[in-house]
Amino acid sequence: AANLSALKLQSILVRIEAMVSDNNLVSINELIPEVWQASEELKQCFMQYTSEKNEKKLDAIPALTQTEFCHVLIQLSEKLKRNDFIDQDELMPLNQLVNNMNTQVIVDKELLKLLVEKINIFDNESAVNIIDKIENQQSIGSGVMNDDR
Amino acid sequence: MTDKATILIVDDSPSNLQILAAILKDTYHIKAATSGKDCLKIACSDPRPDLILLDIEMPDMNGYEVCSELKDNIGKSIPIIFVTGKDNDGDEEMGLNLGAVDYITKPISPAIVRARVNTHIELKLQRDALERMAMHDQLTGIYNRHYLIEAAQQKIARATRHKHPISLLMLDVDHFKAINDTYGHSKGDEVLQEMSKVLKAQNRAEDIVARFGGEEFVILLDQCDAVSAEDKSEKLRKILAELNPGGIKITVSIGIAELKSGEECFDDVLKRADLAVYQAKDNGRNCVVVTR
Repeated sequence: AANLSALKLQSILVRIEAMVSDNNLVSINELIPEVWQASEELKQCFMQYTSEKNEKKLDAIPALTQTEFCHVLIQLSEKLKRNDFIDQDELMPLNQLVNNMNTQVIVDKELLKLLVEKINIFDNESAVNIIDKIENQQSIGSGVMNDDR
Repeated sequence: MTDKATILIVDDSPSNLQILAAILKDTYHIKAATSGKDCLKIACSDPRPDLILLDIEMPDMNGYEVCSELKDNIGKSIPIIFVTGKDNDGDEEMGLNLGAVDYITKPISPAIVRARVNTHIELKLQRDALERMAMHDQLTGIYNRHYLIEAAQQKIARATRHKHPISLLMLDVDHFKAINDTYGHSKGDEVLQEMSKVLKAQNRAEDIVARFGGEEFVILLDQCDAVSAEDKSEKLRKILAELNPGGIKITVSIGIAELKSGEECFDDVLKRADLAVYQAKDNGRNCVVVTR
């Protein structure tokens, strides 16, 4: 927590709690900008921490072939239709593509990014529609889904 | 698809959903819903969740309303744990009075959530097992007499209300005592087990196939009149005569009674089918008799 600057935010909030007990509204207002700043710092630290972690993870997974990518989409679509929870690990192949770390699969990165977003907010219906769109693009682009490895 | 118990997490905040799912995903199969409406839809479709973690403050339909709806309808056997920021006693009391089994306040402690969920899942699975045992015959795995009587009464009430036919078959293995005396009881059990498999396989999902007693079986055929029931019984009789369960040739006597609409209850139909079995035995066994 200390490494992520959470202690700074925590200490400000403790002071605010004490001020609330004393009904000291003026001082609370003065502290609000500090809360936002500490909160922003924490957010930045946290994002940097998670992106470093994710990049390491993404580096570690093998790149998908076009056929494997199609299978991933089919499996995701089935899970979304069943309202199954999709773990972040299952989204890693897609994140790898979004981050341009896989050159074997040709896909609309923006659409893929949107798909990951929709899955993460549990908007399953939209996610399934996006998968359908990607699959259509894939079949138009390649004609046949051959294993290109 | 999976041997893991299924947990449905319902919260309008995706981040809360992600947190709860991350805590439980290694042990359970997780389903997710971000609204009360979706929760009801998922809870009523197969495979049903074994437990629901339900947020209270949600737009459109709050957790209390979802809980009431589930407890009044098809989801009444699914345990519900409220996971909520509402931390006063009144809210907790209300949630528990609506039928929730537990109440967890946010911010959550992963260890506590895991422990409480584990406890309630274990209780749910034990209750399911007890229900299964209470409804099924231990030897053959098909429904038992207790279940038959309960379910038949409902089916007969529905048939009477909608004026559609329903027939009852009573099936008795001929000379079963001689099989037990000659080959031993374990062989007799084997005969009943193999027969049950065939009876189950030969009937529709909406029919009830039950072991009524020793070597007596009852089949309740929904939307089926006596004529169709007789055809069906003849077919069953022939199949069983060729089955040779446990390497033993068997025959069966079958009695049929169709519900006289508006006049009869289950016991009446059962009695008539039973008399028809006696008639079939008197007629030389290995035959079908229909009461009119």
